[in-house]
Amino acid sequence: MALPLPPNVSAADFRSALGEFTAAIGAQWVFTTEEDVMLYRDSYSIFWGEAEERIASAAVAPASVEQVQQIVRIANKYKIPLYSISTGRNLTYGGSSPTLRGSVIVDLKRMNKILAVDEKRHFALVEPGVSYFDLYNYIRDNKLKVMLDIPDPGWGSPIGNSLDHGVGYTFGPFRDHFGSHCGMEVVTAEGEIIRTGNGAIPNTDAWQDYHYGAGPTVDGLFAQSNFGIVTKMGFWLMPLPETYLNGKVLVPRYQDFQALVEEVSYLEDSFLIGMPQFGSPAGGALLEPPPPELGPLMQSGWPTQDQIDTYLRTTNKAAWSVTLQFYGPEETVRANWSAAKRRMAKAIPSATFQDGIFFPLPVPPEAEQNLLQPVKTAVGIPSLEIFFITTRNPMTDADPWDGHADFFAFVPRTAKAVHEASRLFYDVYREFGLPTFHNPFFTPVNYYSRSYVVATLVPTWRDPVKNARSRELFGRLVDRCGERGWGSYRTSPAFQERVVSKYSFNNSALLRFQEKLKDGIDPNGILSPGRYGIWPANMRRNRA
Amino acid sequence: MVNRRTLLKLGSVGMAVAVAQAPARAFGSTLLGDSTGLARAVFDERFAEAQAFASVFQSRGMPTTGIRGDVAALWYRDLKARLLERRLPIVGLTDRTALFCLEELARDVGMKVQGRIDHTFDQGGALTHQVTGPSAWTAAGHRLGSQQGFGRVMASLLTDPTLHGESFAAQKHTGPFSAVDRKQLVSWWIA
Repeated sequence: MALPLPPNVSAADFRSALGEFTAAIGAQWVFTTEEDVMLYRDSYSIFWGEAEERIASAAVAPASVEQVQQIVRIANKYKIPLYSISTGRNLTYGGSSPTLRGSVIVDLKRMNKILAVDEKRHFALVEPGVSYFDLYNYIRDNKLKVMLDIPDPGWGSPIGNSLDHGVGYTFGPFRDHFGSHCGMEVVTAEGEIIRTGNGAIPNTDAWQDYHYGAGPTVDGLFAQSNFGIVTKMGFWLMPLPETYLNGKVLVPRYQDFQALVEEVSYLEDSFLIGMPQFGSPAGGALLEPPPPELGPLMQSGWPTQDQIDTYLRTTNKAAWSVTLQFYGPEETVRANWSAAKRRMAKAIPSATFQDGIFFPLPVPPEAEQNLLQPVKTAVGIPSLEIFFITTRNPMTDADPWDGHADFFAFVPRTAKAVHEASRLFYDVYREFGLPTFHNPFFTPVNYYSRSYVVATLVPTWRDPVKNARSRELFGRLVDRCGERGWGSYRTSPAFQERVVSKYSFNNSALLRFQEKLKDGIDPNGILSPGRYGIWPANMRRNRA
Repeated sequence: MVNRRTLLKLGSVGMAVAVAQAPARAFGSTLLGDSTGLARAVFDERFAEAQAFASVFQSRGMPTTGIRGDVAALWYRDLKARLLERRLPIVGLTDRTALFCLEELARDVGMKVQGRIDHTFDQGGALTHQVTGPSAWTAAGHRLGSQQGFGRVMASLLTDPTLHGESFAAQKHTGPFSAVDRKQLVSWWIA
């Protein structure tokens, strides 16, 4: 497969630009051969091997902010589209491949310094090439009293993940990775360096202590966007809790899901629990095959309430469960679990409770491997185990996937919305004649503390025929959810424009505002053209 | 991604070659045989073939590391720093998911999968080998045969200097979820 040229750039100009990149950062950090550039191919691409696959034209790996500035200035001179990545591991969301085919990847892996971790003021300041593993190992090796909130898998970078609105698994404020950042350094499209928040005050010693600064806050412009290249970022960290405890609530009646949701929301919004993990003993866990007895229930389509009640009586399994997680001193976690049980028992008299595990933090290094998921992630220990868990899911054995494109619909925290979204997903999959794990017992994920996600993983393949079907399915889910008023928090380049198109209030005034900013900030449109639907003026014809 | 791609599906009866017939080379003089010429032989200790693979390297005093699926600790607490300091080949016999993770991670140190042989048991239990690598690997694949015991043969093949002269890229051949069953293994070479 020949590498593409950047769009609207002549071969001669591209050669000149590559020559200037080489002079700026060194020949060994400018990648132009097919073998090297294809390392940035998205392993999960839903366009694999097709003309629309987002293949880069070259890649550059600067080692410093100054080199990033030089690259941006050269790109402006020749109007070369750039696409910056931190570690480029946000698989299912594009990975290391660009939004626009033919872009030059700016791989920030060499900018990998941990600039500060403060265990007294509870923050970190890092460069883009630092991964969660790197930061975790640094904290562990230096016995620092802070805990990371990590994504799963943990091979991404805090900067890249938060700029993509990535999420974690501990306390609400820390699960929102962008929401817990404090201060950033950005190289603009003109090659200028800006610092946000208190960082704009020269010689400040409070950059990671106050995030607003004075005047408008612009940090949000650099997430899921193309207005600058972030080269440093601060994050607020959780003080290392003394202990971790979890306990499970089991709810027999299907109709009591709303009461369960309300109680969990009370505990979550009161900061009494970490991330609640919903489940359904009657419906099976997300990454496990559904119970065999569920098959007959779903055979004739979405079951009635009577059928669901009969099914529950027959199986004698609880309709719902939630695992509650507590962090803090032993006295408080035990007291909070007691309080949660008291409240739950009052709201749902038939609820039963199971004490879970309790252990002090930090987990000794030699004991980490004995900790099972999802607890390992819930106490901030990164791993790559998620790949192996999914591979061993018998549900995919019949026709194994190569990757997946995730669609996460954000819905209100109500039982009605969860059931409605599950039914919507089920109907769309049925329309395509594809198997689905959505059923009346499907449970939400509570990544962001104030909303629920109803999720699906749309398979991707090395087979273009299957990928075409997956793309159509994904697009239908986006459209149907959009009609219902539900968006998706994050999506792969293949669907960013379609997802953004649902945010169309007042004739897409929000997108038009963003385009005005783009035109002013990046008039040559060199930074990540098309990311989240924001095209430079000369490429807006690319709109779907 | 495969270029200058050579694919061969092997497995017909009669191709089995005993370990004793594998090339007997002086490891000290081969590309990988020098203990300073190989960063690591990685094996998944849950699988007998992988253990046999490792035993060949161990018997010759070459560096090996056992994993149990997840390669995170191996990479982030060991290999990454070593390879950034000195880029040397790593070889392995693991499941496909471990290779998937390692090939994604290898980009950070400028290395890529240069060859792989997927060892697949079909539904009838028959073993086949699919070679993706330099042309010399194709012929070498014939030594594997259809019987169990390919782990030791693979170890010998991966230390054969004549197999590594041609530049080749075999990266991103599959995603992490491609295993047709949970016994599927892959031998690989990253440099």
